[in-house]
This record gives sequence, C-alpha cells and structure tokens, in this order.
Amino acid sequence: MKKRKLHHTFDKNVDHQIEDLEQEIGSLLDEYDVEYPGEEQIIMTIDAMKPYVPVRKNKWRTVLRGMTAITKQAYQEIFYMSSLFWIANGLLIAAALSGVLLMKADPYAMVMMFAPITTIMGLIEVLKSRNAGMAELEMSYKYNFQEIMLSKMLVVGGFNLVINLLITLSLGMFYQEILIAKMLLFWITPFTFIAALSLLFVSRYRQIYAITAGMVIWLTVSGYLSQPQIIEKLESLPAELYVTASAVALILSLFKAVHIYKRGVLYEVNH
Amino acid sequence: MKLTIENITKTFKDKSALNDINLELTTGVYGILGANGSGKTTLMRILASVMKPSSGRVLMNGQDIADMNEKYRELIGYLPQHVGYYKNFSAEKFLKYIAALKGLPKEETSEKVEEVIELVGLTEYRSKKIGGFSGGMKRRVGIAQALLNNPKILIVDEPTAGLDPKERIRFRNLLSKISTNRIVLLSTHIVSDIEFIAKEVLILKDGQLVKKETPQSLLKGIEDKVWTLVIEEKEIPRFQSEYKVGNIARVEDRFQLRILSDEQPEPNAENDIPNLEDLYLYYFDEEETA
Repeated sequence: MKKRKLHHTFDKNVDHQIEDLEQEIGSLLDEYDVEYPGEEQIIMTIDAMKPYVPVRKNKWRTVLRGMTAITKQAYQEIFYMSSLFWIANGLLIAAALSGVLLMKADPYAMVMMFAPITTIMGLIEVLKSRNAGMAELEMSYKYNFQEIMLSKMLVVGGFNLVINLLITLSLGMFYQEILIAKMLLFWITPFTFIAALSLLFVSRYRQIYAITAGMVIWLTVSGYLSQPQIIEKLESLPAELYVTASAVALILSLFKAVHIYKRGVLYEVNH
Repeated sequence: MKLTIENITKTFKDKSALNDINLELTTGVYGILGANGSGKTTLMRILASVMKPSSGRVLMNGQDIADMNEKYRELIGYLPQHVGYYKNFSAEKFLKYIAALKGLPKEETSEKVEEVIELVGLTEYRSKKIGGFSGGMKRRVGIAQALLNNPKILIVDEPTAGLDPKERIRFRNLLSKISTNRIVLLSTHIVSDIEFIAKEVLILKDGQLVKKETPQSLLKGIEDKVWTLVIEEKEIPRFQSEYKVGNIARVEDRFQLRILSDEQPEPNAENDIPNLEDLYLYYFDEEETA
C-alpha cells in the first residue's frame, strides 16, 4: 500500500487571514452574547411568568371555594337583611304557636302550613338587588351576583330551618303526645319542595308581585291540605313517601344551586 | 399594567353592538366618546365583566379576564350608567356592605369607607339614607363604592349624565384626582368631561372604533375644518341643511355660525381653532347627539 505524503505548506498570509476572519466572526457574535442573569432577575422573571402558567383545575377545590365564598358572604348578609324580614318571622313564630296553643289547631297541619312561609317571604330579600337596580353593579364584585343571591338564599333557608325546628321543639314541649318525627316529616317535605321551587324562581323571575302570588297560592294549597279529612289522608301516607319526596326536592335544590352558581342567572343587562 | 381588547364583537340577536374592537390600554385616563347607541355601554360592560362578548377576548397583562374570574373583578371598580342603590341604607352602611361584597378584610373596612366618603365629600351626609340624596350625591356614592377596593382599573359609564354643571365640574375634578396609577375608562357624550383629563380619546361610532388618539392629535386632524361665518338670520336654515353647524351666536343683528366642513363653506368664512365639541360634531351627526 502506497503511503500518501501530506504536504503542509505554511502560508503566513493565509494564517493571518483566518485569524482576522475569526476575530471578525467573534466580534459579530459578541452582540449575541447573553449575560447570565443574576438571582434577583431570575426570580423576577419567574414571578412575571407565573400568571401565564396554566392552573390545573381541581373540580372539588372549585366547589369547596364556591361553598366557602357563599357561606362567608351569607354570614355578612345576616347583618344587612331588612329588619322587616326578622319582625315578620317573629310574628310568624308567634302565630304558629298561638294557633296551636290557644286556638287548638292541628299541630301537624299548622307546621305544614307555616313551614315554607319564611322562604317565600325571604325571596323579597333575595330579589332585592335586582329590584333596587343593583344587579349590574353586583355582577362586577368579587362575590358576584349569583354568589350574593345564593348567600341570601342560604340565610333565608337556614333561618327557615331554625324557625321550623323551634316551633317543633316548642310544641313538643307543650304537648307530650306529639310525635316529633311525624312533625318533622310534615314540615320538611313542603319546606324542601318550596325551597327547590324558590331556587328555580329566583333564577328566572325578578318581580316582587310574583312572590305575593306564590304566597297566596301556598296559603290556599296549605289551607286545603290542613282540612281534617285531608290531614287524615296525609297522615295515612307511608313515611317513606315523605322521605322520598323530601330527598328528591333536596337533590333538585342542590342541582339548581350548582346550576345558578356555574351558569349565572337570567339577567339582561340591557336598559 | 396593560389591558388588551382583542377582536371584541357583541351582537344582540341580529343587531351588532360592537364590531371587531381592538385596543390596548395602559395607565391613564381614556375618554370614550360616542353618540347614544354607539356601543360605549356595551364595551364598558364587557370590560367590567358583567357582559360576555360574542367573540374576542379581553386580556389583563396577557391573561384572559374570563379565566381570571374573581381575580380580575378584585382589580376593577365599576360605576354603571344606571344604578339603583339600596335606598334605605345610609351612605356608610351601603359602602360597608359593598366592602364586604368586594371581599375587603373586615379590619380595613371602616378606615377605607371613611377614606372614600371623605374623598367624595359626603362626610356630613354619611348617616343619611341614600333615598334622600340628590342625583349628584348618588353619583358620588357610586364613585365611592367603585374606589373601595383601590381598583387598578376604574370603569365609569356616563358619570355626569343628568348632573347640573356644578356637580359635573366637581365630578370631573374628582376623577382627575383619582386617576393616577390606574387605567380609567370614562364614557361620555359630554366632551368637556374629558377635554382636559383624558390621555387618549376613543371615538366609537356604530359599534366600531373610529379613532384612538390624544385630544391634541385629534384636534390637529380637524384644524382646517372649523369655520366661522357671520350671516343673516334667514340664511341659517340653508347652512344647517348643507353643513354640520355647531354654535350659533348672535352678533348684534346678525348671527355667527360655527361650521364643520372639509371645504370653506363661503368665501368670507374664517378658519377657527377647533375644540373637542367640534370634533364630536365632526364625527357624529346632530340627530345622533340628541
């Protein structure tokens, strides 16, 4: 095998040219040099980029956040409810108790009739912002319109629950023969049913007169239901039926509340 | 701080209220000028997140406000054109309630309410019921609630509508005072409201953004289009039908007309220095301004 001899010609000019070229390229690349940032600059960049990092949505965390917000706001709402609402409810308790204790009305019929009235009356408070022309403004707040509305519903519903329990316990103390469980069934069913209807109502309507109409309808219906022969029939119905009806109404209420929270309410901001 | 409006369009059934609006807003006062129905309120509502656009998006420092949700609402202060207020509440009680709705910490509420009440000059009326307030005082309560959370973006829609001149001046000065370090969007069809406080004027017409420039540059654009002319009374109807006529002033037994026209309307018409009212008239027909 023939070896090839390599000739190295040492040309000083070419060498200088290469050196010059390297220097030129070097200086051209200098402007692309990026100075390594300091610790502070790195932290600032991370902070600036943080808002753009997509947040993994945790469904349960969202639900929990919503519930916490509504509960927190509900506590605040208590202090801003109309005094008329509290007075009317005080009178309601007095009327229910005196109806049974003084006028000897059927206690089961009485609790059934009074059970959802607080909720129906409370709708005036719930719809107050829409009627006062505050809805558009409230939509722009941290606790937005639907959260405020659900908070008010929570106050009204919670207060209604407390009133019903108070009436039940008071009557239970006065009349030993009263069956507390039966009393509970008699008011929980209309209460949950009307609460579900109210949630449906507030998401669609805003007229106060509709509440008056609702009240009249309920009083008529409950007046009919509280007739002795009807009460007798109602008492003969199996407890499971009441429990099922209440459970369905409760599920509907929760479903509607979530729907209101997620989708908002029907409100046209068009004046 | 940057608020970017990207291709915003809003349609109501078959009516287009906003048509492909693109804007970038930074710190300072922006006056939105437009006739009734030009889309001012719709744009304000979208920016206040009380209305969703049909298409397009609004970005706050690059982040979509729809994704920011309550984090964006924490940054804004909004005063809509029509607010009812809770009339049975005193100014102080109302503001405390709104502070709760804005999520202000309880320990800061009293101090902040105190501060905004003083700022809007309602200290001596703080315990009075809002129901008994005048229109101007109600507007001041409105601006106070908008400022409670020290907003980075302040959106006020037609704040001077229905106010008497004294209240308007007071309101304008108040806005000027509170406009530092935030984006202030002020919609109006009263040009004097924004003449001296706006960094830029946005002109909306039929749902489209016609101009976004500084008042000076907008005025420069019409500097050769404003004419004054002294004529006899009987000639007024002719000029009114042929040109956009602004002020009409009596000069002894004749009348001086302020005319907006690309060309000299009459050989004896003299060119005059334009003001924002001329600008408004130039872009909007007289019947639209009614």
